[in-house]
Order: sequence, then C-alpha cells, then structure tokens
Amino acid sequence: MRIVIAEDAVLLREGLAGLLTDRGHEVVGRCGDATALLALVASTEPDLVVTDIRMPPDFTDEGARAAVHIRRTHPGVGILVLSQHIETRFAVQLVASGDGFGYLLKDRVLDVDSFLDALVRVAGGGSALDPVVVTALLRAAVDPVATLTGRERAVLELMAQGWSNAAIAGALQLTERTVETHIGAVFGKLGLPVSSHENRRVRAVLAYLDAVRV
Amino acid sequence: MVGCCLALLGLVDMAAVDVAVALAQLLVVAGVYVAITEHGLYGIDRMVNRALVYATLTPLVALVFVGVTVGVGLVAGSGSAWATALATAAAAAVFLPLRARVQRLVDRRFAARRVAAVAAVRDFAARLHRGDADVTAIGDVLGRALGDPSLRVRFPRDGELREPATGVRFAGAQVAAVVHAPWLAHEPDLLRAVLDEAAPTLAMARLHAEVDHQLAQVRASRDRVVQAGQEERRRLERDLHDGAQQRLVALGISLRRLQPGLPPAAVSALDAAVAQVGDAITELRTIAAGVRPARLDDGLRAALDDLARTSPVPVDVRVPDTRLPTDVEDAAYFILCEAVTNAVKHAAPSRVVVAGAVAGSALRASVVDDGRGGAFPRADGGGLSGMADRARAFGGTVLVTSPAGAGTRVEVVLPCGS
Repeated sequence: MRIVIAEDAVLLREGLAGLLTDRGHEVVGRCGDATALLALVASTEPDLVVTDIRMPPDFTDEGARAAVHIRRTHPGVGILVLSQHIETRFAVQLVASGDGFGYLLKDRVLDVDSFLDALVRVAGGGSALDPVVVTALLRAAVDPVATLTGRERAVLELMAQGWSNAAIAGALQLTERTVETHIGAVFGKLGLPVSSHENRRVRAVLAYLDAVRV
Repeated sequence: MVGCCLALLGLVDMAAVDVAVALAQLLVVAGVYVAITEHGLYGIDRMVNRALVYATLTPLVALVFVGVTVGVGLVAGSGSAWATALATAAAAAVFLPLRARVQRLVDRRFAARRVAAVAAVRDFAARLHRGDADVTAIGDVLGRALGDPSLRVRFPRDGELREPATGVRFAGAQVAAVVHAPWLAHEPDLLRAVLDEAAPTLAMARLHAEVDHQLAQVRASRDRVVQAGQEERRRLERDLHDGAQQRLVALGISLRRLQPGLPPAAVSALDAAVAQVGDAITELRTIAAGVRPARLDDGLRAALDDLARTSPVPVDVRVPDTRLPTDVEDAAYFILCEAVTNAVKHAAPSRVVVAGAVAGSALRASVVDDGRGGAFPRADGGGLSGMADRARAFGGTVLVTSPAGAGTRVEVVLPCGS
C-alpha cells in the first residue's frame, strides 16, 4: 500500500514510517503540515493518507481540514486521522460523512495488528472509529441501547468502529452467521433500516448514536 | 473731610484742597492695589464689604450735612460760614457711630453667606454620620456650599498634584487638596471657614479613596492571575499532548519495531513495556483533560457535551453551538463545569440542566439542579467563590440561589466583548 504520512512530531513521524515500512507498506511521502500534505497527495497519488489532526501553524484542526479537502480533490484516497485526544463529535462527523475515513487515537498505533487492519480497511473504502469514541457514544445513548443484550452491545461496539462481520466474528469467537443475527436484532431494537452494505450500516449506527446521546 | 476742616479753619486755599483731595484719592487707589496684590489680606470680600459700608454711609452723611446746612441757613441766613461749620461738625459727629452700625449690618450679611456654607458642610457630616450620605459626595457638597461648580477634591499622593489648589490639613497632616475657581482665593475667610469645617470629612473621604484604590489594584491583580492561569492551562494542555504524549507514542513504536525476530521471552517483555507506555499515555491524557479539555477547541457546546457524557447524573445541555472568544469559552466552561461538579458531588440531584444563550454582548448561562439546595459561598476560595472570582476576572458575575430543599441555581453572566 502506498502511504503518505503528515505528522509534525518528527520522532513520531519517522517511527510510524519505519513501522509501516517494516510491515511491507511503501511510505511515498512524509511531511509536517497540511499545506505540504496537499502537495504530496497531488504529486504521489497515494492509496492512503495518515494525518495528525493538530499541525502547524495554528495547532487546531489543520489535519481534519486537509482531510476534507483531499476527499474533494482525490475521492479515491483513504484518510486516517490521528488525534492525541478524543473529539467525539468531530470523529463521528468525519467517519459518518462517507467511505474511506478513519479516526483513531495515536496510541492505537501501539496495537500494531489492529492498527494495520484499520489502515487496510480505510484504504479499501471502509471505516475506522476509535473504540473510545464508540464507548462514549454508547454510554451517552440511553433507553433503546439499554435494551440490548451484552452480546448485541459488543457486536454494536465493534460494528460502530468499522469492523467487518468477519472481523467481529473473529474477535468475539462467533460464526459470521451469528454476528449477522445479532446485527439484525440490534437494528430491530434501534429501529434502523437493515442494510447489507457495511459502511452504510456503520453510518446509520453512528448517526443514531450521535442523535440519541444525552 | 480733612480738606473741609482745613478750609473751615482758613489755613489753606481751595486750590490746595483740590490737589490734596486728588492726591488722597490716588493714595487710596494705590493702597487698595497694594493690599490686594501683595497681601491678599485685603480680599475682594473685604473690599466689597467696605464698598458697601461707604456706599451706604456717604448718602447718610451727605444727608446730615445738607440737612444741617439748610436748617442753619434758614435760621442764620444763607451763605453763612457757621452753617457750613455746624453741618460739618454734625456730619462728623454722626459719622463714627453710623459707620459702626452700617459695618455691623453689612458684616452680618457677609457672615450669613459663610454661616450658611459652613452649615451645609456640617449638615452633610451629620447625614454621613446617620448613614444617609456617601462620603464621596463631599466634593459636590463643597462646590455647592462655596458656589463653585468647578470645584474638585483631590487626594494627592506624594507630589502628585499638578494644578494649583488649596490644601486641607487634619490631625497634623495634609489630607486633601481642593482645586477651585480663582475668585475663591479672594474670599479667604469663606474658603478657610468651609474647608476647616470639612476637614474631618475630607480625611474620611481620603481613607475611602485610598481603600478604593487599593481594592481596585487587588482586583486587577486577581483578574490578571485568573486570566494568566487560563492561558497557562492552554499552554500546559498543549505541551502534554503535543510534547510528552507524542514522545511516549514514538517510544512505544520504537519498542514495537524491535520485536520482530526476537526470542519469545524478549517479545513478551517488550509487550509489557509497550503496555506500560500505553498506560502512561492514558494517564497523561486524563491529566491534560483535567487541565483543560481539548474539546474546548471545538467550542463551549462541544466541551459541555463531553462533560455531560462523562457525568454520573443525567446532564441536559441546552447551549447554542455558537463560537465565542476563547477566553470567554474557557471561563464559561470552567465555571459551568464547577457548578455541575458541585451539584453532582453535594446536592444529590436526579438531573442537572445547563442552559445558556448569548444575549446582547453577554453570555448568560445557568446550571440548575433538583437536589437538596442549601449551598452558600465560602470565604476560603471554595467552589462557589472560586466561580465568582473567575467570572469577575472577565467582568462577569455569578449568582447562586440555593434554598434548602429546593435545588440550586447558579446563574452566570460573562461579557463576550462583541
């Protein structure tokens, strides 16, 4: 996979690039701010962009704005936004806004296999939403979510993070068929339209959780 | 009069008398001039006083003179030198007692003004004593008493005063300086009498002004401390996230990159090390969030939503998603957060409502709970007074209503400067 990394902390950027190279990916560009990122994306046409959210010059949401811009100019490029802290609403907006978006806390990188899974998922047009965001959404969502069984809730959590049915089945040691049944039950209890399209399902769940929180 | 006497005695001729009279007039004018300009003693009030006395005396003496001349003339025949002499003697005889009498009358008139002015000051002091007046009004009272609307009272610290003024002393020290219209300098009796009467009140006003001045300085310093504290929180939060936390993530990645190809024992040791790095990152994130939630970068509403999400008691956030100046958002967040935390910690409510709206150029927000109430601000800088300090530092107010058993309502008003 051809990847561009935008991260202003050099130590972290080089570490990340090294890790991705170790795991057989090609880091085709690395930079420390959003302007350079846009230029790199235009010149290298990567499969995936991994970008820090806070970068020079203002250290606010330069990475996120660059992500939105890249989505317009290069719709085929997957974008994974990394953050130092959780920003629930922004994360939900970003991930629910379309295919091929991801939002993770930076320290998820340390769980290398899950991180690489998320990269592959986002580059392939899927979603990746940090578990902390999902937990926060679920904790805040009242009533109907409370009627879910423990298993259904676990499936919902992983689904909201962007996991595929197969991945959920693997993680919970269930058959894909059982996972599908649980998903059907969750959608029934939350009153959401059933869809076989994975990303549309994720978006429906996120939109729902975002709407019913608090 | 001297001229008349001399003429009567036939010692000098009338031409010499004319010259003497002219010289005398000149001397009088020169004397008055010297008295006014050099000594100030001869104040305008005294001049007016004397002018009034002599303006009254002159027709009276003239009347006596003419009356006697005509009376004697009728008896002894007109043009009689005796008539003139008698008339002059009569005029001279009535002059002194008459002058004393007229002087008393005019003095009483002048004194009346002074007495009234002093009484006005005394009356103000009495009202002050009863608590009916504000000591800072002393300037207006003096201005009215002395008839000088431009009058101002100053409390100069060492050598601070740059304008001409009349000093006021009390208990052995200069307590005030009164800046007044120049003409008042020519009524020194009136001015002195009024200022002497006002001296204790001016001393009190000076203390009042000094306390006010010091209080303002203390407030300004507190405001600077609170504002600087908020700025420091922003810096610290950023340093934690963008500095220490990034380094830890980089360290974790380095450890991970070491793992492939190592013997299983080393791999599991590094796993444990990476897990510790992860714990440290989580801890740092919690600390940073306590210092200042990074969500505040997304606005007050976003940060309050996060606060509500982590609260053990349902919190209803009804705050518009509009952006305000960063300082105001931060201050509002910390105040509302403190109020919510207090409610959850002490009031045992079933729910808390955080409401807010921008009205005019101020943010008005409230935190209302249905808990046990009975909260009151502590003087030791506890939660409630801490909120008030923070609000005041940004020119705002906090009002806490907390009747026992009927919930607590914290109302915050913060100017937005827009």
